[in-house]
Amino acid sequence: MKNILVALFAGLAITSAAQAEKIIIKGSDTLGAKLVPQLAEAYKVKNPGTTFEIAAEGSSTGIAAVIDATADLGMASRRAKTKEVSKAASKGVKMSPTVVCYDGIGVIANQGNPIKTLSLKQVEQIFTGDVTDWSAVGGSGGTISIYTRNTSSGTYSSFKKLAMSKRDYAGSSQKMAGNEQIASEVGKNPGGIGYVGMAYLKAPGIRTVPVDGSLPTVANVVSFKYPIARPCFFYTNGGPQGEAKKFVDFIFTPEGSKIVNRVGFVPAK
Amino acid sequence: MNKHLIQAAAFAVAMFVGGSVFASDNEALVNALVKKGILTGQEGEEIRSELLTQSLTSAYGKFNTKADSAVVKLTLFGDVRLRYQWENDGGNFGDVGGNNDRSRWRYRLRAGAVYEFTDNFKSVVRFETGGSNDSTNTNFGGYFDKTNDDIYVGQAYLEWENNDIFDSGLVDYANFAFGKQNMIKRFMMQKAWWDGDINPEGITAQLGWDDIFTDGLDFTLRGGAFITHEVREDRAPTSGDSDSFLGVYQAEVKYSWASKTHFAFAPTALIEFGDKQAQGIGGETMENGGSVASENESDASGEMLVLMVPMQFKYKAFGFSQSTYGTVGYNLDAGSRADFEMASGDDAVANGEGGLFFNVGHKFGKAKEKGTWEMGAEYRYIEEAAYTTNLVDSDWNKAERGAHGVVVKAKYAITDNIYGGVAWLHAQNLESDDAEDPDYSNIVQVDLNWKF
Repeated sequence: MKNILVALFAGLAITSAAQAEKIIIKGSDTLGAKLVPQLAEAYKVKNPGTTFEIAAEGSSTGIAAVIDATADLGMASRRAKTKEVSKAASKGVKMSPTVVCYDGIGVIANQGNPIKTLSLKQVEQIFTGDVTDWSAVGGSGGTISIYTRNTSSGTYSSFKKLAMSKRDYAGSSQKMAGNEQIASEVGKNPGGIGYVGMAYLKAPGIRTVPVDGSLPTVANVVSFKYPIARPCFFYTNGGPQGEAKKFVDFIFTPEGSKIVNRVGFVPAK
Repeated sequence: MNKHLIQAAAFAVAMFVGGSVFASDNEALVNALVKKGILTGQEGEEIRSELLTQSLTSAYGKFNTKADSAVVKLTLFGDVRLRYQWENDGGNFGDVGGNNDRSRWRYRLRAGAVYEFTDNFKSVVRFETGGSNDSTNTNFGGYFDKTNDDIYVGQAYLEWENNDIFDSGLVDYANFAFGKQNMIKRFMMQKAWWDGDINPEGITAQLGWDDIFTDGLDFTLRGGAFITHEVREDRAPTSGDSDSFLGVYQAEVKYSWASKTHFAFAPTALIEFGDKQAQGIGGETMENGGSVASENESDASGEMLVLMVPMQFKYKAFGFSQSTYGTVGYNLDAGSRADFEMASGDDAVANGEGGLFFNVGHKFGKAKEKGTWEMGAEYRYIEEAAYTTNLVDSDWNKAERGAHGVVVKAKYAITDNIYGGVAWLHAQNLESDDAEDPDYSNIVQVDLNWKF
């Protein structure tokens, strides 16, 4: 009897292992630092045979991974560029976007900074280096220290497009690897300014500065009132398939949407 | 609303609007439809993606090419420049009657296309005015005739570029080009030592590695082999005549530590191969008649083995982009060149001397967007047996050697594609008491340039 039970459990284990699926997700730090890992954990509870490999090194890496077929899902907090779509087409890859959520990019300052609000034009002037002192934008004075993402970041590209009229960042801007690093540096620097996704606005030591009188809230992003908001994507080759499709579908369920909300993004559906 | 109906309508609008505003018009239309709730966000993204893919893989709306199944992107480009030029030199430059002043109105036209194919290939074709190897200018006059307004092939080359070779992981960048190609953007070379209008004919290769040893430290190897003289083997050979080549070999080290900030230097060798008489350095034997052929002194020695190091420090200060640059070089064959010219009767060069050349300059600003400026000043020095008159900036000292002087330039962007500029190029002979060479040369250029 004991031998039969051992054989039965061994058979079940072998069967489960044979059915285990792995989903490889690469790309955006905005999505990959918090949201996607939490979604993955919730998905694994319902699908214990599924494992995830998540690497969040910037949207550019996610899109490149889809083109090179080294990821099932490419996370991106920006749209694929013409050059990337062209490269994909030359390799026979059809870049298909799935909007997984919306995100407002919040402009943050140090908690002790008394600046009340900034216009979108002032945001552009600060981040391009046209304005270098807080007194020029209604603050109490002092050199502005700019913290931005690095060039592989989708947030870097989206912010440049939505808030800077596509102009170049100031040469003095300091490049950070992720949202948490920007929040950390601004939280320590009284003259610091940076930008982070909505999910990172509650970091200690920082406050969100209204832009054109509007804060990056769910209501303002949904109503297009907040000017610096963008969709966030999973890119796939020709649409999600297999286990990856099931995971994407899970994101749009009430449970998935609840997680998206809790982390600080705006559900897509 | 049916997504396919909207997609078809958007594409139809784009075809009427024209290829050049294709992307921006579609983006605005789709944005508006999403904001009004006619399309969901997902539908909007799918339409954008589909239209972009179609624009890249189709024959660009109304355009068709014979190879349109392989052409994934076509970019048209061009520019026209109007120039007023005043020249003055303090000696004999062969001018009739000893009149050393000359002023003229000139123009140039350059127009071409970049074809991007599948599999990382690209082709560039550019047509331009001016038949000389080192000038695209043509003069007004002749009572509006067109006899000097010919169009020539300035560039025609095939290029392959990728961030790897055959997925080997051996390099981070590779570029190969074959044909009549640009030089200034391909090699780290300053215009003082390679006239911007000279497009060499041959093959080039570049291999690059990023972030070696540390972030921001890049290394690039470049090589070029260019044909300067082609012998007709089917005809009775001229004694000593043979095919000739110019080899350019460069190793660039570049360190970038912030956005738009870097320091780079690139040891470079320029070597001429082939029979010295046939290389056409100088008016007597230059086959296609460079614009300065008539100005060149007895420079038919063809002895050139140049080692040079271009350098550049690029940074941002006071809100402007800044560039401090220079090159120092020496012709290791200066002695042979000096011997030859002395044998030819030009004893301006003493034995074994005169192989040094260098320049140092600074530029600030960048005239790109409307209302922006750029200004620069540069000092140049070139000894008698250094380098070659065939490659130097043909405007400064009319490409003659044995001089030093300055170039001062300013440029202003009147709009995003129309520019005004002024330049003063001054040179003084190193041996100003030489009766056969001019003591000095001045050229003033006032330009109006527009791109399309």
